[in-house]
Amino acid sequence: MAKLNRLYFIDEGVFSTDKFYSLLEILLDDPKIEPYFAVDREIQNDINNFLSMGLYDDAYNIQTYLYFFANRRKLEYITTSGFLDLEDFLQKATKYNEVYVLTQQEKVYDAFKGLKSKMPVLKIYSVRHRNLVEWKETEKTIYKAFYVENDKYVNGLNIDKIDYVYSPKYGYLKLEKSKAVSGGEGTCYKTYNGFFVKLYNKNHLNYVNLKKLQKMMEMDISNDFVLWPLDIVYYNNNFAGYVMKELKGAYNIDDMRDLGFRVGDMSPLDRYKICLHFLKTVDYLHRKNILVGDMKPDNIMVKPPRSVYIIDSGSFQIEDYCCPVCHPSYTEKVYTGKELRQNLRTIEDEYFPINRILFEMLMLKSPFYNKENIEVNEEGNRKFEYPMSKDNLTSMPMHLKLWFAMSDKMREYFYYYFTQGKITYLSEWIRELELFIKQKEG
Amino acid sequence: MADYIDDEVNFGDWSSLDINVSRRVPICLVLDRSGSMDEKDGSQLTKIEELNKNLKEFLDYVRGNAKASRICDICIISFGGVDEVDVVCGYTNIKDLKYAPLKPYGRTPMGAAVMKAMDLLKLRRNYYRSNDIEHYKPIMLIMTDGLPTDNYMAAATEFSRMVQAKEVKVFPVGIGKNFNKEVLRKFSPLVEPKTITSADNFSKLFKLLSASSSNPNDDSLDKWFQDEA
Repeated sequence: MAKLNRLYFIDEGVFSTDKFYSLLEILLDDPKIEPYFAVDREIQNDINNFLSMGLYDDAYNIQTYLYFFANRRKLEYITTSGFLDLEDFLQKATKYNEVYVLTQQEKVYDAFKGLKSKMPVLKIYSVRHRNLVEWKETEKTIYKAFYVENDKYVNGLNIDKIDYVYSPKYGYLKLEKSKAVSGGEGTCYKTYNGFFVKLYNKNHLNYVNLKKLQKMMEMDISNDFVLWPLDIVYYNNNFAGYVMKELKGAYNIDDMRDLGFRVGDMSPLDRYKICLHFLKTVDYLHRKNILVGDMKPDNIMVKPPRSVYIIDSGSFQIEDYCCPVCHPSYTEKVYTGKELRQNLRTIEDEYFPINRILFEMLMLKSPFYNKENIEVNEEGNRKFEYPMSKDNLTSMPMHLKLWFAMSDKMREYFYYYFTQGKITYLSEWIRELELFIKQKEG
Repeated sequence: MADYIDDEVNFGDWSSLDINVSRRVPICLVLDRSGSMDEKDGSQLTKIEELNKNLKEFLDYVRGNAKASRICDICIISFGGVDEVDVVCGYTNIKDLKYAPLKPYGRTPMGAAVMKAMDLLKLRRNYYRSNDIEHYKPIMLIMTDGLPTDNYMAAATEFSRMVQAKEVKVFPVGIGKNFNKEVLRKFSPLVEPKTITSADNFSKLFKLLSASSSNPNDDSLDKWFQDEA
């Protein structure tokens, strides 16, 4: 019996999913199917972006898959113009018996779902745990997290009284108790040998956090700008937290904002470069199906002039492990503690803090700032009042001067997000920031 | 600064730029210095000595912490004497703050002191508004060891309205065993008054206040007060 020709159109983020090669083996081994592969023609730009960030493993990873498909003469490049124009896709896909689109991004799903009526053989999947999961509208917001009822894995451990912890990798780590930083989930301490240890509060010393950290230890995250856990730490054989690299000489975004991003000889353009680096690092995580979750200025660090680090990775949303904490000013929805622990957030949810933080970095004000609304974290109805045109302005206060100093596109991206919820995805933001910086550098 | 502003002009076609980016934390301490504060109650030191010692440590912390010294606007109001309300300092940056230890004497005009604190807070908010300065939720710490000796009800009613309207976050503290919790509750409809009866309690209160001064998102002080409830 003749095999069915099946085209897999693979959105770039899929290549970075956990052990994608195992899924690929399964796809290739199906005896009834002759598989073919297609990618967006602009994938080379993504590879170049990775290279420019020094993320050689990721760039190499995608390039290797492309060589693999090309060597088998089974690779097509398709022009989609950022998934806005699928004419080329329609033309090329008609010659196959079946067409599968694999993507982790809702915007790509949204772009392709309209073709289903014209192309009954089209199916759209995401990749989860090395399996293909068909995209459905209803699945967008109801992914359930790995959740344990009454989860208290370690009892009776009082972190205030702990002076040292044990790491299987690094041995005993003595804590500098005077150098403590407290947060929602626990307290971080410097160690005497240049590490940073996070010890969980009693409510967070649970089985889910332990399993999440074990999963993180298995994952291949090689981005210097993400402070990934280096090892799990224990006290008297009890799970206590994790150890990470210490970040020296860095300021969090909140402090940087209060300083007007004027540390050392930083220039205004550095603010834009910091934004760009921040977005590229978030993009790196999203491509690996990781959400920062508790994304807030405290968790983003800048080493002047323009290196950006994301910290507190223990609270990231990783696969089915939720991010159990949030800062209400940096979430679009109001979450209960139970919702945070039981439901997974979507990439789209993460665009609220992304837009807000980006806005605050560029504008040095809240997006909901106005003369009557000057209190931090109390935005009332979150009304976005920055105008798109200068026409009706009677005065030009500083915050509007900075607003109009941005490019037209950036203003549009913010305006449509904060007024209509229309998301501009990271790839477009990155492109626009790069263009802006290039123009300003002349 | 000037260079920075000049550079910023290159991002638009504007001139005469000025910029207020630092967000402020207004902190007001309304402190009892009535005669009874000269007594000991659960500590080696008298209540006023404990208060002065911890207040100094708090101010030293703010002075020594780069962020706190930049963002905190501190107001200290004391009440005692013959119905005296002293503004030790209005909302002031730590570098301009002059402070001498409080001397205990006389009565407890807490109503008038809170009224003064509300007036100063309203003025401060207007100042922030007219200068394009964002600020965190104002913090007000009210400390007393006894009963108000003035007519405090009008002040309590107005202040409670401000608290309910989330215009200010109040932390009411009763020192020792002789204060009236019911009275303090009238100033604080949302947060249960905290009783402090030892040197450790004093120290913890001001340490947590210090943490809020350098990190306004730190809610340890709120949590400590919630424990009381």
